[in-house]
Amino acid sequence: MPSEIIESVSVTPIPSSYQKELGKNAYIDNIGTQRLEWVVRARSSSGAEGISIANRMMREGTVESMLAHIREALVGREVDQLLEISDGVVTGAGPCMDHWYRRNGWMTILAFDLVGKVRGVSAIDLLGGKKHDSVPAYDTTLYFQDFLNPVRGASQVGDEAAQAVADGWRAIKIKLGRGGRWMLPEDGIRRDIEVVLGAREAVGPDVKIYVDANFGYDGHLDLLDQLIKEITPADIFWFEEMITHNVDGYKAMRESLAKYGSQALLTCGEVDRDPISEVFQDLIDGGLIDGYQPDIVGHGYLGWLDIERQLEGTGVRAIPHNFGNGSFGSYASIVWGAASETYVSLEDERVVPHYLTALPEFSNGAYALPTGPGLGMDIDEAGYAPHAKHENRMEV
Amino acid sequence: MANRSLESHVINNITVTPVETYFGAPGLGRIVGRNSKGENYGHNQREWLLQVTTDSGLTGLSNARPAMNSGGMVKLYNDFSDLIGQPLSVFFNVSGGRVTSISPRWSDLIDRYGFLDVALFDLIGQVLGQPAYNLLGDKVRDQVESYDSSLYFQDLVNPAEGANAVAIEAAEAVEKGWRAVKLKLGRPGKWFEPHAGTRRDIEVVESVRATVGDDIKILVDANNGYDGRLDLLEDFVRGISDLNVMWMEEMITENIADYQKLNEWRDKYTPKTMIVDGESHKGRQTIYWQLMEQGLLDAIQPDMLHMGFWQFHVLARDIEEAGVDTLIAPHNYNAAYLGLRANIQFGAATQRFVIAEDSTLDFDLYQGTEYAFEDGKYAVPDSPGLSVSIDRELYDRVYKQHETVIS
Repeated sequence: MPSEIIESVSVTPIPSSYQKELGKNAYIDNIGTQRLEWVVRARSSSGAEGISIANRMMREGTVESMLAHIREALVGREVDQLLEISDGVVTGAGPCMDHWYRRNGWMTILAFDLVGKVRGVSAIDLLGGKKHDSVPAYDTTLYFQDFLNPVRGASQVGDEAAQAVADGWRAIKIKLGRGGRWMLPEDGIRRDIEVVLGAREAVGPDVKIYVDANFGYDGHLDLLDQLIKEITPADIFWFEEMITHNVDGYKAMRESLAKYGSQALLTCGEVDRDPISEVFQDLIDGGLIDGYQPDIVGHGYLGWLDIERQLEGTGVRAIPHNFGNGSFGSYASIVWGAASETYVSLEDERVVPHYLTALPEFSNGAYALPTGPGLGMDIDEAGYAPHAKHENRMEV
Repeated sequence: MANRSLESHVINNITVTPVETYFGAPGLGRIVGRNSKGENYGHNQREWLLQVTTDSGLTGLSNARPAMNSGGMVKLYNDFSDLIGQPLSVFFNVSGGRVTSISPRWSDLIDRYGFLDVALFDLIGQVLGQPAYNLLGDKVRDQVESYDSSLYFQDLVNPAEGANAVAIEAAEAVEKGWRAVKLKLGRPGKWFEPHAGTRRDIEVVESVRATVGDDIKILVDANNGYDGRLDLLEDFVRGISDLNVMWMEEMITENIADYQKLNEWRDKYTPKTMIVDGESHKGRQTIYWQLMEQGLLDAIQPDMLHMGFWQFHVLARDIEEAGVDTLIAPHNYNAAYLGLRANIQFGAATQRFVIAEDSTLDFDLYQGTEYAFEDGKYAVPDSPGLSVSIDRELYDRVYKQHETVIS
């Protein structure tokens, strides 16, 4: 690997638009139509460019604090210091980089991209090579759309589910938990059931349906039991975050699934900020969950490599959360999914692409694998140009 | 209204219903962007329509959004269940057609849910045949001026336009009839590198002033985005010195020493500009009261739906009695249609009222034609109560399936 350094880093806020307006989930108000991606471009002395998004640094932080962190972490850094590599496969963080990567998993993805581009190898290979020839994806945009189109009510979700299938998706996730905040619990479960059964009818028997309550059934295990009973005939593939993670609650859910003959997976873990923390480890050890879901960009590739090592032999599958990661998240997820043995499905926000080069081909509900070095994508400079005036640039 | 006795009208049904609306109109896609600390506001706003109905068939309206933002439906349901069976006479003492005091039995509930008293004033006004404002006092103005409050960080929504993105939308607001616009500032707070953010803030005000001309009022609101950067705040105040800004709102989190500095700079660079703050005000034991007493705050801005008519009336009275000069300009951004109408009613009877915050939303559900909007001002209706009714056919066809009933 030629010795070179990161000569400049820029951070640019770029709005990304959904194909439609996204409504509420169990606890937060309308998502809306647009999110901001804080796009980080790190250019090395040979002109190679590693890309990622630093959205999570902006949750609590400011541009000023983010720039200070990135300057210290990356500007002037030797590229071969970013990752520890053995036989062409990444084995860990480069010297002195653990500190900077901690809670900044996005930076590890940038490192894989940049190192891959400098070496002319795919990040999939740096992760250990491909385990699949394509990466299935699910439409994750079916929020409480019934509130957005009150005339259609529950049917609105079915309409949008059918549209997702018409657009090529073969798996959809439906947000539930209306009784958590926005409706009375009894009214909420009735609507939840109506939505799921309506969506199944709209998409037919061959499309996978996942449901996600964002903890909207907390304190209502009786209603959750009823929900499982009522929607099991709709062949649910997984139940996600139906309640806040706790061993007794998940035992009760397992019993409900068994009682009603459901084969559905139980998944959670998006909120685990320091994986695998104790309660999730208990759920894993107790065989009470089937999928674990910390965020792909939040924890990054090194974080997820570590998680996969810990999950090995448990039967729990890797299902990284990806909502909120915009255009970039799809690329990051495809690469990870290609290299992950137990990967299930990519959470696809279906953001309108505009500042990155085109995604790999999508057919029959799955993405082909990228072929280029690094993550296999670059900045589309024409799409990027309108945003350049908001670029924050740091140079050696 | 045949029976003008409040005890003859008993609450027998309450509903809460989500009603969505859009900035501009559905499908136009206008997104209201960030402020100094929060993500995109979005391209719509929702009202949680509160309908309080009596056995005599009267319905009082309000917006229960504060309760839905802070708690949720279950808490609201439980807290409002006590209202069922109560006659309208129990909540306030009414004498000579004016509300004179609040019942101790209900003061806690109405204090926590200020928006509830908007519906109660609506009902009481209908029973007594009086507009809501007249329950507080004589009308002091026939029209209430409002400002377009939807001009957020539009430069981040439409990056290609930069600062001009705000000016474009300000011009559209003027075209639609507003004569005052409020610009969200405070870019140093989070979303910009602080110096670049200050430059952009000034550039936005310059750009809007150049676009809308000299006759339009420009207000600015930083949502405390200059906290910790008094150096940049002075740069900003100096930067707008010749731009005739009507008020500066929440430039920094309120504290006496920093407000003294801000007042100094205001006096030095732009002496006609008001300094306003107090969206979170709740009573005399707050920093806002100290600021008022020290003459550091030109207008205070508690939220219309958090306060309701009665608490606002008490605040105006307390300010009067304390002999301070501070005016009142209720915060009203999340209040949508009904909150704005409440604001207009309050302004109609309150001498020290400045201007109404208007999120410029239109709803097809409401009928309030007496609030005619012309040349940046709303007419004050003289019909009983709040002077707003519901399109019942539309409600039954579209919204009723989503209502929560408390009965």
